[in-house]
Amino acid sequence: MQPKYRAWLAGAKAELPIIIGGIPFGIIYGVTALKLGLSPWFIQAMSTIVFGGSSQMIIAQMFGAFSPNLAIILTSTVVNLRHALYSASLAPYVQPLSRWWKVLLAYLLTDEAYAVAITNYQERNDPEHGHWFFFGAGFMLWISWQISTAIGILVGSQLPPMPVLDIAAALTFIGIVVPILRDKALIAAAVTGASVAVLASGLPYKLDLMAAAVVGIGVGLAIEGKQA
Amino acid sequence: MSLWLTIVVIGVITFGIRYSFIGLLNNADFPAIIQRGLRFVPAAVLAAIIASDLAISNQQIDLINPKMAAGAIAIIVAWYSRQVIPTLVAGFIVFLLLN
Repeated sequence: MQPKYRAWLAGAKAELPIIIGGIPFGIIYGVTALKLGLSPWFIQAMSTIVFGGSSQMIIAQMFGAFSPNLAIILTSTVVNLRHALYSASLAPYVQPLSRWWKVLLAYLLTDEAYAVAITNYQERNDPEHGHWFFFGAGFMLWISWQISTAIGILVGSQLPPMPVLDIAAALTFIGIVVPILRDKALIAAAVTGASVAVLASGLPYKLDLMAAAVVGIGVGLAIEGKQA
Repeated sequence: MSLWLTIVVIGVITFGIRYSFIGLLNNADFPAIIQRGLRFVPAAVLAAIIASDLAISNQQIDLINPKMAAGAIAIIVAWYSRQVIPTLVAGFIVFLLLN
C-alpha cells in the first residue's frame, strides 16, 4: 500500500475511539432537533453545512425558541471561535499544501480531528503524509457524524441511554494529551487549561474553552521563559 | 431571512473561522511569541475539554463523581502506557464499576 493511504488509514483508526463518544452525541442532536420542531432534511443538512456538534445543538435550540436569525448567527460564531486557535496551531504544518487541500482540511477541522491531527504532526515526524492522516481522521468523524445524525432522526427516540459512552471522548482525549506532556511548561499549560475551564464553566458559548486556552498558553510561556 | 439562508451563513462563517490561519497566513507572518505560544494550544485546549466533560454536570461543578474517578485512572494509565486504547478501557472499567 502506498504510504499516503497508510497514513489515511492510520488517521481513520486514531479517530475511532473518539467516534464511540461522537455517535451518541450525533444521535442526541438528531433527536433533540426533531423534538424542537425542525424538519429532518434541515437537521441533516446542518450536520453537513455547519459540521460542529456544540454549535448545532445551540442553533437547534435557538431555532426552536424562535430567536432572531442574527442572534443565532452571532452565537454560533462565538461558539466556533476556538477553531481559529486550532487553525493557527495547524497552519505551520499545512503551509506547503495546495489550496484545495487546505479547504478540505479546514472544512474537516473539529475538536476531535484537531486532537489527533496535531498530536500526529507533533509526535511523528512524517511531514510528507501528515495531511493524509488528518484527512483520514477528519473523514471518519465526518461520516460518523452524518450517519449518527440520521440515526437520531430516524430511530433515536427508541434507543436506550448509555451513559458510559458519554465519557468516551474525554477518555480518548486523555490518551492523546497525556503522552504529549513531556516538559514542565506543557504540564503547566494543561493543568491551567483544565482548572480555568472548570472555574469559568459558567461562561456561555464555549467561552470557557477560549479563556482556558488563552490563560493556559500564557502560563506555559511564562514557565518556559523561566526555564530558559 | 429564511432558516436555510441562516444556516448557509453560519456554515460559511464556521468554515471561514477554520480556514482563517490555515489559508490566509504564512507561517513567517506570525510573531515569534505567537509561534512559541502555539506549542501550548493542544495541551491547554484538550485538557480544558477533558475537564469540562468530567467535572461539570448540568452546568454545576461536581468534582467527586464516577466520571472524575474514571478520568483520574485514565490519566495514570495514559502516563505509563502512552496509548489510547488501554486508557479508554481502564476508564470505562472504573466508570462501570462505580455506576
